[in-house]
Amino acid sequence: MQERLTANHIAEQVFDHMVPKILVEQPDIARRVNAVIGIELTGENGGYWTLDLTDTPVIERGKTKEPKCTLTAQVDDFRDLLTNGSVRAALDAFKKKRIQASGHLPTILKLEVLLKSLSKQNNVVA
Amino acid sequence: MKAESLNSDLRDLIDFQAKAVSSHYDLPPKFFAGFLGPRMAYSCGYFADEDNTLEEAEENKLLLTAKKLDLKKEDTILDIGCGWGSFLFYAVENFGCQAVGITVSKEQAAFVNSVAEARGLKDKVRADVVHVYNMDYPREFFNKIVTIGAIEHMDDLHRVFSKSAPFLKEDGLMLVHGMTKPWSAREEELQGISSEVGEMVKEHFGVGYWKSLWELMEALEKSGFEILDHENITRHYQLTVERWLERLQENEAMLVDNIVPEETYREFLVFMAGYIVGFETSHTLCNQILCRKISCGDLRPALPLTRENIVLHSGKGCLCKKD
Repeated sequence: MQERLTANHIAEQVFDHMVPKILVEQPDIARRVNAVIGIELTGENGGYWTLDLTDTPVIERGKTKEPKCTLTAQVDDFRDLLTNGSVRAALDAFKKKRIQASGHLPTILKLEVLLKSLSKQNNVVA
Repeated sequence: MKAESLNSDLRDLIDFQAKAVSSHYDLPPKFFAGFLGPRMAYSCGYFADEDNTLEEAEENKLLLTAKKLDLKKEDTILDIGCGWGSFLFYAVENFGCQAVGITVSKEQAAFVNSVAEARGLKDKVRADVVHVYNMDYPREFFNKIVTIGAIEHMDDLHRVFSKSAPFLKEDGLMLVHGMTKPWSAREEELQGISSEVGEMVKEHFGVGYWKSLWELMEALEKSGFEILDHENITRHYQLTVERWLERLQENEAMLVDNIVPEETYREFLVFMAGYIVGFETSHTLCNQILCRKISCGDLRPALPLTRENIVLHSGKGCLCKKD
């Protein structure tokens, strides 16, 4: 069943509700990433989430653990990424610096499967 | 009429591939120098130890390649897809061989030929701008052929090896070094299931054809080569690209805008990171295959009974000594 995201609170809907659910349904995702990743979404209704995708996956608000890498984007750009759901769109956003990454870049790319799962499960309400 | 049509199709394919591949390799050599090692080897290094530097891994790989090809002073070598000439110069300067490289990139050939001139090696080494399907040398002119990190750009490996075989002396050695896909991924591609990432990688490199290992071996056998040895060096390529990525990031300020636009720089960041993940997760593999030109019924010249002469032993530091 599809989740309907509202543009205003997309970040918290995704990281407080949808990602934890996906990680339970698809435990392989965390096993394959096997790292702590920081997500920093700037702008209105943004925030910082720590994705601990190691043995027992946990998603927490705030920087609760030292991440191996951090992905930073504006909330609006993040919403576009989810709406589009394609790796090509993510690459274009990265090339144009609408997505920034720091730390171990290869680990960020392992989020591809999570991005695709999120994209399949939601449609964004503008 | 049919033959003319086929020739025309082949000409179109060659033009397309040459332009596509050049779009990647004709970026300024200074950009590639910003992340490759001092030999400018744009292919997998060889790590005797996880702590080896990129420079050591480059030297180790060149030494290992030379050992596998049993290089000698009297050898005449053809390097198919010679890049910026790392193996050409290594063979000429360390073993005294004669060497010819081919590439479709004018930038790469100009680089190789200018370095050859600067080092006083014009009579020993040169690079020709020619597509592998169009190369034309005297029959049995070479006694060693090497292709390192180039088969990924070649659509028809049987055509490549069949084209190469006549230029190699009977019993001559050929070393093929290149990336392959696991069969499961290759089978999906053959069934028309293309992945978005796969298509993007091909675009990044201009054009790409990642075959499975058995397709590569089949093409070699069908072209008259006997496979002597195979080594899976996937882990070595992961370690190599990890070091390229580190250097690319370290040199960002020097490279961006001065040598390439920022978007190009960031595209390379992503693709290097992607390759690291690809090797780590068995989406992409890397292999070295040593073979020789021999026909069924030919007398078999004696080969060493063990692999001792074609291995590098693990240990700290660089193994780059010629015994």
